Amino acid sequence: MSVLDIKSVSKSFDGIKIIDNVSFSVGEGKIVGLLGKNGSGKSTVIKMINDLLTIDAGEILIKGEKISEKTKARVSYLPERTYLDSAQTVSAIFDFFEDFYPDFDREKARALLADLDLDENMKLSKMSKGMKEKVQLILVMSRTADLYILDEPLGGVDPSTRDRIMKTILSNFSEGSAMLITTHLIYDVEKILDEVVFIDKGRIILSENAEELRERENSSIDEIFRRIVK
Amino acid sequence: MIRRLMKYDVKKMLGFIPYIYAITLLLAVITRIINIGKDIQVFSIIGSVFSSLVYSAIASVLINTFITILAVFIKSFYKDESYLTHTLPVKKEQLLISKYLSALIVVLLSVAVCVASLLIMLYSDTFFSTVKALLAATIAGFNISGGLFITIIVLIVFFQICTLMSMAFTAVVKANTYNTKRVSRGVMWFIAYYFGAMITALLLMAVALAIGGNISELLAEQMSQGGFMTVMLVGMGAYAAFSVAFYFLCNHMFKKGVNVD
Repeated sequence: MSVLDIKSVSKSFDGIKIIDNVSFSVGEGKIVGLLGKNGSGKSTVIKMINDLLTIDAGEILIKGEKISEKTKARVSYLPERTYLDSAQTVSAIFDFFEDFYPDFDREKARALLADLDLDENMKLSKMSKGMKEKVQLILVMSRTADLYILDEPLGGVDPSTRDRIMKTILSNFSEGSAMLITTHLIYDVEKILDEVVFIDKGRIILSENAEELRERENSSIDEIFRRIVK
Repeated sequence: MIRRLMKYDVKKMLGFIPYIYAITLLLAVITRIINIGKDIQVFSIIGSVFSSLVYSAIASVLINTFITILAVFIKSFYKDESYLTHTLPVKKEQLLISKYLSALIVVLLSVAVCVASLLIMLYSDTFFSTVKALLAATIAGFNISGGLFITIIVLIVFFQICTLMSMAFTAVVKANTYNTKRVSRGVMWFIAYYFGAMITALLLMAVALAIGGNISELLAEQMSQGGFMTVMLVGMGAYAAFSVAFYFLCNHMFKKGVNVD
């Protein structure tokens, strides 16, 4: 069974079609990359999956169910922006997550915090953008979800931090769970992807197994993407 | 789940307002102490200045309460924080009810602080007697007790506050169904809801007075006892109904889904 099914989803803003008849799925245990240029519609698709935007047409199913508070309990989402209250400390945010997500593992979160050189008692207002993004990533990866959705997890961070983030993602990804990653930094993530979905101008232009695609085209996913999406 | 949400919502809606509570109460205490010596001209002048400060602080409490509640509502549902709010494993109506109840708690707390500050500053036997005499003069000829009159006034004010809050939330939700000009649309919708509710309340009062044979009293300088009670009770009922009606309208629109920034 697919963990995530997106069927013929469309979305318009002020009469302009932003997402046009998008369909793809994410299977259990798979890491799928939703790849596209800036403004191609990746984040719009992600927002619709997470009930942050309404759908004009089509449907989105999480393990066969329509989006509801029950499916939200099974999805762990890392948005592209900082959504946490700057006035809070990391510890207070952990308290909040413990209150609402039974699957949030505080000990795991503490271990990840130490790994990424962060202090639980530090206020978010005193942190840099990169540090805040790490905290958000820790919150997401400290949950045992069926589906992890990471929207541009590497955006805005330096190359060495990107490596640490990728290592954190891979080593804390629950077995049997699925992951959907969106990024325009394809070179950094392609080695972990099982499947790739290319999106351009709100349309899916390719959806294939990553390894098969690399072998057939005899190129990296990054190079294939640059060729196809101009 | 609603209690869990309210734990965080009340804290956010209070924000920095407790500091204003503390300052207001402190100013009231200082004013009262200064007014002990009000027979001396210097203390009388200083007492007047501090009284003005207390009134300003009370206004600040009420204004900041309203602004903070609205800001928390908008930030939580439609700005960056919405990425956390709308992905919580919580029903949409629970998110909304938590905001309503938390806002009510904070408003009641703010009103209590304002009333307490006024009592601290002004209360004396003379003041109490003056208020009693004023109340007696107001309700003279209406054949109701002072207690019942005050209860009706308090309930009307309470339901008016609930209605205004409900209207404001509904206007925000309505404005965010559009993609552009959300602020101006929110203001316009609030004004539309306000005038719609006021006109409806007036019509209801007119109908009630007409049924009682007192329609002409609507524009009269002085009302009869029956007319007065009709207007008061219809007004109270109307505001209670509006606050509930606007909640259901808000909930209906909110459940359809959001389009965050």
